[in-house]
Amino acid sequence: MKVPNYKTLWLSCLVFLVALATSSTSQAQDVKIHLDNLDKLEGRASQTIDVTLDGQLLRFAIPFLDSKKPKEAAIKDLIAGLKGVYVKVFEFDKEGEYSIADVDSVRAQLRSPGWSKIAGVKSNKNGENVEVYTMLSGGQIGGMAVIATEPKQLTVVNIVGLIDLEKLTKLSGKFGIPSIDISTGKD
Amino acid sequence: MSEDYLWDKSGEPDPEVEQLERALGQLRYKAPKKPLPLPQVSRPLFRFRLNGLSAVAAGIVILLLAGGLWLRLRPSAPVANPEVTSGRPPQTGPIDLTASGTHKQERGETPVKAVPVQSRVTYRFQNPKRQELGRDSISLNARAAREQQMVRKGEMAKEQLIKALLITSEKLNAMQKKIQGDQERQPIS
Repeated sequence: MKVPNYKTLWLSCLVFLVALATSSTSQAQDVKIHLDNLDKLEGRASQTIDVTLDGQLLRFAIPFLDSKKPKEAAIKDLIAGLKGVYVKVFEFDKEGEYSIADVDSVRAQLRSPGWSKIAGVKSNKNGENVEVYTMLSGGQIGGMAVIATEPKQLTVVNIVGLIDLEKLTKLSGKFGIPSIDISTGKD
Repeated sequence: MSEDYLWDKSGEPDPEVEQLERALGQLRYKAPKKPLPLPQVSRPLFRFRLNGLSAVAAGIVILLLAGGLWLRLRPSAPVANPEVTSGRPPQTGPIDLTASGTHKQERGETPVKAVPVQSRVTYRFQNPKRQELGRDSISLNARAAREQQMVRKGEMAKEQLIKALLITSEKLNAMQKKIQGDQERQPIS
């Protein structure tokens, strides 16, 4: 049997290390979508909610979540595998303040490999659309994105990391948490 | 007594000096007959031959490590302001967790109020012995201020997190209800 020389071993180790570093970085990069191009809407919006929580800030928040409180305990359980939470909500006084191109700039990123649209609801009555995208990682949801559009509101959510969709869906309106009514166009 | 003997041994010898010379003469330096042998070739304890490929490999490994360290230690992105940027003056009281507290108030509902940040501030330095020292009051104050800043940052992150997850959950819930509603409306054929 031919024994591989040290040069071959060295090169193999290096190739493996480089591949490992590149793949982990690119995976994290792909799950996080870029929402910077929506920043221009801030000027036109009457109300903006911008939440940017990277892994470091999420770790900051964990000790402040009280496990004795059911709501906070549920959130603590939910965010254990998270690496980032990014939310942008724009509310406008009148319709037509944002364009389809603005939404398409986000949608285009969700067409990249790994992402798949798992649900979409379109309402012709009030023009409300919701699309949910997930990225699978090792049989689990490794990231998700939500695009919700209404005539006077645009919401984009990007969650990076392992997330339990069922638990997340049950979070609102449960444990005595009143539902957040962030839509103005419906009423 | 002439001091010539002490100077250049030309004068009359002093018996006391002679005795001293004899006593100390035993301790005189005696040169070795032949010098100590040295090894022909010195051998280093560890020899590492660095050829071109190893140098490149080592360079890449160092770069990877440095990159990893940089990614880990680089400062985080600035904390987004949790306040709703609606052009109103900054809120100084308790922060309304719900995004539409005003809408709820209009409908007669009480908006949820978050616990004020200041009420949660706790200091680790409550040991009376440590407080007695007093001489490090400046550094203690700086540390307390830093801790207070961390607490504020943590509270802010928590509020943002709750807000973000509730918004997401609300959207998912609304979509789920809509899908279920549509399914119920459709007759089973």
